[in-house]
Amino acid sequence: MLNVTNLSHNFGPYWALKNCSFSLDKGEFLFLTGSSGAGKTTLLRLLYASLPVMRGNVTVAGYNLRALPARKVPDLRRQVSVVFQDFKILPYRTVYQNVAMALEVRGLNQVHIDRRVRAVVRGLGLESRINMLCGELSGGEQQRVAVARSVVVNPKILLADEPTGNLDEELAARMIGIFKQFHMHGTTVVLATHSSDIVRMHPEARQLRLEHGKIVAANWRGAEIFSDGISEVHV
Amino acid sequence: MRVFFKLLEQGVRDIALHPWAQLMTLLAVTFITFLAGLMLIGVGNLDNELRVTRGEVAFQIYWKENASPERVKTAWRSLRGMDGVIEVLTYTPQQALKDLSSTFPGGSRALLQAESNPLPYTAVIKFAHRSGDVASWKKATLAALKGLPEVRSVRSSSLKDEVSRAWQELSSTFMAPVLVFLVLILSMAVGNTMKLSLISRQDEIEILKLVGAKNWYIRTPLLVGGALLGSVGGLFGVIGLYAAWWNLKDTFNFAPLYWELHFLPVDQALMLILIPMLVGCVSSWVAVRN
Repeated sequence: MLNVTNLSHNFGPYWALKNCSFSLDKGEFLFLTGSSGAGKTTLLRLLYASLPVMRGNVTVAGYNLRALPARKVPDLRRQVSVVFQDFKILPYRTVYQNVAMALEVRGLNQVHIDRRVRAVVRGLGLESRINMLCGELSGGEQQRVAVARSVVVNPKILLADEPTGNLDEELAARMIGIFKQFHMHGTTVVLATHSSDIVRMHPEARQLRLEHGKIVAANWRGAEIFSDGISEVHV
Repeated sequence: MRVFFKLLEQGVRDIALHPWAQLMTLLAVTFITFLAGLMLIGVGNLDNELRVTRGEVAFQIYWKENASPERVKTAWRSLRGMDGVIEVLTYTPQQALKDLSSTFPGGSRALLQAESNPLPYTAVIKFAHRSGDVASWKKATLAALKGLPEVRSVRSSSLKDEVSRAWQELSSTFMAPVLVFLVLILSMAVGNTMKLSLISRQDEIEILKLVGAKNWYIRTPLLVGGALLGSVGGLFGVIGLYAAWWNLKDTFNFAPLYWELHFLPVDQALMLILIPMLVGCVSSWVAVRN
């Protein structure tokens, strides 16, 4: 489902990622951890083709990102959904409109869109807010709208960049619970967080720790640990 | 198809995002169309007038004073049979004297009562405006007219002919660059407004791209907005032009000019709407292509 091989990325002289390699099968749940500036966001951006893959190889949902032409990026993003720390929702549109947007770009018929949106919104406890403008919602509700928009399309992979960063502890735990629910339905989830508490609460999940752009720890065989410029398999 | 119409509708609705900028652009398009139309009306009418009434080549033929009336009248008949002739005016010495005397109100009677008439038989022959090697044709015609029996001299209307040709050269030389210049201004005005729309929708576009929207899905509303601005501005410009023409059409319609201004032909008026629409669409596309 997701295969990263010797992936490096630099912004000028600064190397944000160095020689990272790991792979995930369908339906796995990965916590990407590390402090700010460790390379988590860069790695996620590479995975949804927001940054070009310059060194190494990345295959996501069957797409080779190294050789992916710009016109094919929308096709990739119909398989890979992203949730951001700052939500990226439109405050001047209603909850319904924000969630439906992801289905409308696919040209689905209105009946199908309506049914899917209402089901997902109900599942995330936003039914009573469905016709409210997103700008009028609380932070937690806005984050749920962002999650609803990401999962309404039944993505193969769900990427989340610090989705709990703006939420209090209780809301953060509930948000992770929502991600787990979708994971249970077969979605591969990659969730970047700098909160070790969240990771500790889910020991069964895959974990990958980044430091200064290198993978320094992982809890499964699918990742290679960077050591003095040489990648080694960690068991 | 439903998605396409939805995007068209969104393109129309998005005009309300920046009403002032859109209004200013609409005015700019209207003024530019008006200006281009005004120029086309001016050039078209002047061109038409020169071609129809002054673009022809005329020759004035003078016979010898003692020319035989029969031989002159035979020559007049042959003139009417020449290729491209649109009018032949003939004057006997008596007719010429009468015409001349009418221009001297005080002395006309004395002139008519004079014993000897110094004026010869004359004819004015007008040929239709022609293209191609006009100079060679003129030279050959001049030689043919001079070869008519008992002809003393032939004069051609070279000044009018040259004025007509110079005007045609001038209008074909400066019209195209001026129109291109106006189209450029038009495209910059519309493109700039569309860029503004794009910037104001940047958050939405970023999200649309994240959820897998294709480029056409993002661009269509902006292209519709540009085309709408262009066509509505063009329509207002043509309406303004018509109003201006209606008020000015008889400005030169007085004796002896009798020059009534004509409005643009339908195809040109339509072009004044279609070109801004096309320019609006293309400049929007250029503005949003990245």
